Amino acid sequence: MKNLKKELGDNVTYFPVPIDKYTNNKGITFEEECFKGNFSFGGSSFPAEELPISPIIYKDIPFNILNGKDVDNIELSNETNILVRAKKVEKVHFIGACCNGDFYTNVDIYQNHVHVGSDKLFFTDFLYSEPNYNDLPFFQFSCTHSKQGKYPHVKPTLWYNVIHLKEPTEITNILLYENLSMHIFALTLQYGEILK
Amino acid sequence: MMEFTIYKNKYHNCRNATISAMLKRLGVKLDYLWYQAGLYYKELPEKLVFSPYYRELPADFKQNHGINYNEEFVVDVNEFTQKLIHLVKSGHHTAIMVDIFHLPYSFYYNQNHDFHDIEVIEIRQDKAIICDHYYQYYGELSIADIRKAINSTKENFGFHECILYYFTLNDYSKNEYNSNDLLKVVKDNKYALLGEKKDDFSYFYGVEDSITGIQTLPIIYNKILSIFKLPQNEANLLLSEIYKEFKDISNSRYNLYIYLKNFSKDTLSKHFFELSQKWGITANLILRASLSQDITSLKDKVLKYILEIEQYEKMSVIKLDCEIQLLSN
Repeated sequence: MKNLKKELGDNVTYFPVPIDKYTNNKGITFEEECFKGNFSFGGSSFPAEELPISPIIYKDIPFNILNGKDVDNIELSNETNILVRAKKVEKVHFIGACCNGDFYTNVDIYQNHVHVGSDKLFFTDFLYSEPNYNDLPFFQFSCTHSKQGKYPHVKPTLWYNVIHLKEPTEITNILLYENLSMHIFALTLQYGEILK
Repeated sequence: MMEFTIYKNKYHNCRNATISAMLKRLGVKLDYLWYQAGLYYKELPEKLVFSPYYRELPADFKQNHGINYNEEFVVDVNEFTQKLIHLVKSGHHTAIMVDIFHLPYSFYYNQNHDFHDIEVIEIRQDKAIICDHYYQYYGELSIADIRKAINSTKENFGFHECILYYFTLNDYSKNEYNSNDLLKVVKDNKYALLGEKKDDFSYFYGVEDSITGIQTLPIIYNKILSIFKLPQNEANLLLSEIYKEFKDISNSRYNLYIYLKNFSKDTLSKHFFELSQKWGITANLILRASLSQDITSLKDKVLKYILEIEQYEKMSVIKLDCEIQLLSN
């Protein structure tokens, strides 16, 4: 895990959290396999060809998107408890999107069994280009993949949002509550200082 | 061609999105137009009706906003098409109900039948310029495709007539809203949630044999429970129909949230935001169940949310009542 750590600037360190143990949905497809996509209930997905190679840097923050995998994101169809084991975390950065509406889910952050933070994580519907909440467009695509192929009339968006902890805190678990319309594609921890 | 913008608002069904687009162009303030957040349930022989509306839109628009909602119903498709062409050429942007199965730009072209509203902007010989605000398409559609798509609403959904509508403003059309308007909306929604059958609550499917207000929720709970016990295919079909109506109820709570925010009623508006989320999540669970081969795994989640919604809707009545007290003092 250590080699994924990315140091940027003088006093900020980022750590993209591997999420492959938790992924359960295929939201990104190449055109020849777009029938496999199941991001939306109707089988729409984001076009893989358009995404840069990971880590994708957004606002200086690196994100690992599991482009090209059989499953590439976490559909929050159940409560998801992500194990992280990290010290002095200040922020948790998320890439995600919703299908069939704009939604939020509650996020609780723990240090072992001690609750150290919580917030609401908002994401806008993937079929829109303007955010409905405090999220920001991470990547805007030129077309949507449907089960049948390219659909150029709708240009979907992957969104960015962030949760702040009150102070740099050791954390062990990020608990994302169930909301089957919400999908998480990547999350990256931000430390307050360079970890030696 | 005139400058034209697609109206994007995911908190409307296709009809309300089309209506909003057309009214926005006439200068109507949309944030004060959508506020009906009641509850209505009725079992018809051909379908189950769940609805947030307690007043039909033409009456609501006329009484409270000075907007004429002009509707025309024509049996013959050719006569209807001629009427449509005449109206558009005489300067009225006109909305029509079509079947998405025959719309070449649609996700659902030659795949799925569903009735849907689009706006016709301009007629050019054998083509129309249309705007599908809901599916975000602006461009050409041949008159032949339009005719097919209109006719299909009769063939596939049992409508006896083709439907078009357009809007005009009265001399007394309203563009300023104040606390008296707010008080009326808050009162109407409270009465609607209490299930009171007021004279100007002209429920589209009538009050006879219907259930209105929060009393609807235990009935909805039992109905959903009984649907989950049906054979898979029957249950899938019913759930896909119910999904749209739950989504519309979710939208109604969101639109009331926006309405209340305009009057800086932050606490009350947040309550309706939370309600729109709960109805929206439930709608999506129902949609997932409608597409699933294993609906039983979703049954408990749907029922849990309906119980939560019942508690929240009971709180709505109390919160609306508190607001009435505040506004009346």
